[in-house]
Amino acid sequence: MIINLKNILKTYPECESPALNNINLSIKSGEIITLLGPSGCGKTTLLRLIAGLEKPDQGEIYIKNNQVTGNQIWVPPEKREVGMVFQDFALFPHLNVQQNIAFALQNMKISEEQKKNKINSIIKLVGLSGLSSQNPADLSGGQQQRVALARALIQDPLLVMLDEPFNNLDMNLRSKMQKEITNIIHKSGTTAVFVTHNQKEALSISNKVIVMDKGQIEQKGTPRQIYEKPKTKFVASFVGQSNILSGTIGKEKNTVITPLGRLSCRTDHNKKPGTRVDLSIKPEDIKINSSGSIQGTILSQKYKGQYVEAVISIKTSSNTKSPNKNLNIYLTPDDSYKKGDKLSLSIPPKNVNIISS
Amino acid sequence: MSENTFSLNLKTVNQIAQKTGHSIKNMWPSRIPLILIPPVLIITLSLAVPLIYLVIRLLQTDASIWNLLLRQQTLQALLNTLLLSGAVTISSIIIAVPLAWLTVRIDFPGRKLFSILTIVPLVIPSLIGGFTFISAFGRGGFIHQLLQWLNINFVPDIYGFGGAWILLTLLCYPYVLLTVRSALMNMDQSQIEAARTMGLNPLKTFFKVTLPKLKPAVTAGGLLIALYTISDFAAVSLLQYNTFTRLIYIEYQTSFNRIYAAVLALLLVMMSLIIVSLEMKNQNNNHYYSVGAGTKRHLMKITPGKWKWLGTGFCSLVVLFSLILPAGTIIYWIFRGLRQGEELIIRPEAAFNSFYVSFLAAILTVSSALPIALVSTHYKSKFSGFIQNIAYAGYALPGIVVALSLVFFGANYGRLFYQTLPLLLFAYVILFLPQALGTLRSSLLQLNPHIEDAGLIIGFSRMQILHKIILPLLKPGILSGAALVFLTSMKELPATMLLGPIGFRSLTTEIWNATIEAFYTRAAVPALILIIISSFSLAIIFKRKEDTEQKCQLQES
Ligand SMILES: Nc1ncnc2c1ncn2[C@@H]1O[C@H](COP(=O)(O)OP(=O)(O)OP(=O)(O)O)[C@@H](O)[C@H]1O
Ligand SMILES: [Mg+2]
Repeated sequence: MIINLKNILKTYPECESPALNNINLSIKSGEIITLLGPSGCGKTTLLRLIAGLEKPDQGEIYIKNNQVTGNQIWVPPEKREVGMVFQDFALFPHLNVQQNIAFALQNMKISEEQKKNKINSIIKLVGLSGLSSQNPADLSGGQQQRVALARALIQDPLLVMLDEPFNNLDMNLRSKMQKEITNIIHKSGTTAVFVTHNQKEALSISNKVIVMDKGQIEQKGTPRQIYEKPKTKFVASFVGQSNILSGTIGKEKNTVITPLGRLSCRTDHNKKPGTRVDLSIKPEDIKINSSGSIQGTILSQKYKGQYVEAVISIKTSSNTKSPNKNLNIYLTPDDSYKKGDKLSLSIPPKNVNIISS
Repeated sequence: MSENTFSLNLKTVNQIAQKTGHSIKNMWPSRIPLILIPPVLIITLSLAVPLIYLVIRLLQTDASIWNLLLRQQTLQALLNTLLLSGAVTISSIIIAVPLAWLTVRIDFPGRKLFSILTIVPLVIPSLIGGFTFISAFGRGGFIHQLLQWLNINFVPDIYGFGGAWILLTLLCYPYVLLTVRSALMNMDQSQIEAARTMGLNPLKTFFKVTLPKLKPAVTAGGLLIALYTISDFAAVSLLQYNTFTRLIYIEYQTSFNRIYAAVLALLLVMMSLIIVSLEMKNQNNNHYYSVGAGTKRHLMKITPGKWKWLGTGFCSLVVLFSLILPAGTIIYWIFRGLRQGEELIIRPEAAFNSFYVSFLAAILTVSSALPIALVSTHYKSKFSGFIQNIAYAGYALPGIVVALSLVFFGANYGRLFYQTLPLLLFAYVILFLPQALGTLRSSLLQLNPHIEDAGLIIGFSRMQILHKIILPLLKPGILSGAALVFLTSMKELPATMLLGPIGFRSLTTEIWNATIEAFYTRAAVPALILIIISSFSLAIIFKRKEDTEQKCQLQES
């Protein structure tokens, strides 16, 4: 384990609710992790606690099994060996690119020769050759970001943390930099934590995703697990805009009774029949199927480029309170449906995900 | 229009202003309205006239200017002035930068208290600084008496360079402290944090990251101090150190032909103009941009461990000499005066004079500044830039120079006015116009530009906009500008001495005379009054600064 957090509680002065509440987390060497969550959920605070830029009210932090934060224990940031790429890059405007990158080396006890080599190889790694004597002010956003990354990587940190690194970049540059930066990090072999509030980004850049909400960890897992098997309502709706339904586990095997009628569902739950549950269904998993069991009417459609997002109103089975239930589904732009058209829908059982409620 | 309907109107104007996304400023004519030109020209020119007159007189004189310039005395004064302002600036920086860093970043015992107390010496005008310094350390001063009581026969030599240097440093260091403190607080915190994560301890971070970024702030504060020092009259005169200001005064008093004083005055103006222009340059280079954007965070204070009392000790020492000693001295003399039953501890006439002259000065100055402020904020042209520069050049005019040039002018052309109140008031206007202008301009610039556009859309004429929108919104700026001028005039010494009507007494002249004659008890009460007064002006300046910052934050979010 490179990082271990135990029962972290952090409340900012003059804030009522904690910014972080009972966080337990461990990070293995070589992992690339993203912290995903809406604005204000405490992602930055978590990074700052690990870096030693903020003190928690309670809890312990270990770096490589050495305690750095805890009762009576405090290791200052300069002794923690974690690199950080700040949300605003935090480049030093009074230093040029090379001086910015070399900044972290001034405290290291290695020869000038070694320093030079280190600087050159890192400049090559992040692709900034030829720009070493530029001022950060004269660089593009993507270049500035690479300087910040080089600066964080050059001290061979145990862990490098990147706070919303792609936020200040435009769309094209953003996806390009996502690839480049993850590449660089893979090549350097460091452990990395990315912070983002963009779910697509989270799923594509890392091999482990931690979803946070309101200062708490909602779910940890591989991108696939997070996307396909959300464990909480929040994760289901934050990652991939799922339809959330409430229902009861049915008597027959692998069925669930919902406002849409009886659906077959995934088998990987061990709930007794009659248990009330929530379930999530991704819009793209709902198929138009003339022999489907669910009947609905198109309420509205929104053109989104690759697909059309449609809201379908479903007549619910009579024993539920509300007479209609709306489902989001995706249509292909070629289907030329109109508002008011009637559709038959079906949902493959493997896509009906039971959320433990 | 009643108060109510008016405020309603203003509200709609404001709402429209927010809706019209972009400015339609170009609906304003690009030329300055003709009615504004005469007052602006007259005011600006009358600012320049005395100085121009001084130059003309010099050119007409028979005496060889070169001879005057190259007098041993002149060179000595030049050297003294440079030496003193350099020394005071450097020593102030050496005191103030650590103070700023300590009070902003380090969590030592008493930090909050000291971050206020170390700024407070700003309220001590140099005249009062001089009075307390002499009456504490000089012969017959209370430290002297204390030493005698202890049977130590020793009088520290406070006169000359050493005393002036120490005194002015104690009076001036808060200027650097202020600029550096605010730079530290507004500094991009993440750069400091980045340095920490890159393995630098707090002290190293200070030298490698913080200090380089403080350069513009240190320069700005330092130049302010240099300007203060070369134009200071009271402290150097009381401590008998021959800088330009003191020499000018002596020449004025003792010699019949005042040409030499005029030469010195012009030299002094040149020096201060150089400093002011350096300051402008510094401001322009000051845009140390910070890369990217992001939420500003509070930086964790550094907990200094076993060294923490060092911070407390350093701050206490500074506060002891710069604040407690002068305040204690004043109180000592007041008590002594009371105990010895001195009846006339203050002349009511002096207080009254100070109040009412300053009051008139405030009204006159602000009304002169208003048209200039309007023109310079609303019209970007060479003319308005020129006007503004002339007005700001007033910052470079030491009180003694303005006084002297008006003495010249008055003695030759304005016999009618010479040594009358109007001429004194005119001097105040010249001296304090830049202050009023600064306040008004910053208030004007803070107005949402769309407000005026919205007024135009509604169909107001420009006069109506001025009358119904700008002036009401400007009221707080006008009031605080006037208050500032009022309070500063109260503290003015050299112009009051040279230009006041014969027998004119003010608080400052009382202190001056009493100190020179070593009647310290007589100076104490006016000194106390002036300190209280100048605390008010400081409070106004800080209040305005706070408001401005809040408004800026609002506009950003
Ligand atoms: N210095 C501070 N003082 C007080 N409250 C703070 C401070 N910093 C953060 N907070 C609060 O703590 C909570 C978590 O903030 P944090 O910056 O960690 O969120 P985040 O997930 O990084 O959000 P974002 O995506 O907007 O950057 C927020 O409610 C925020 O308002
Ligand atoms: Mg954040």
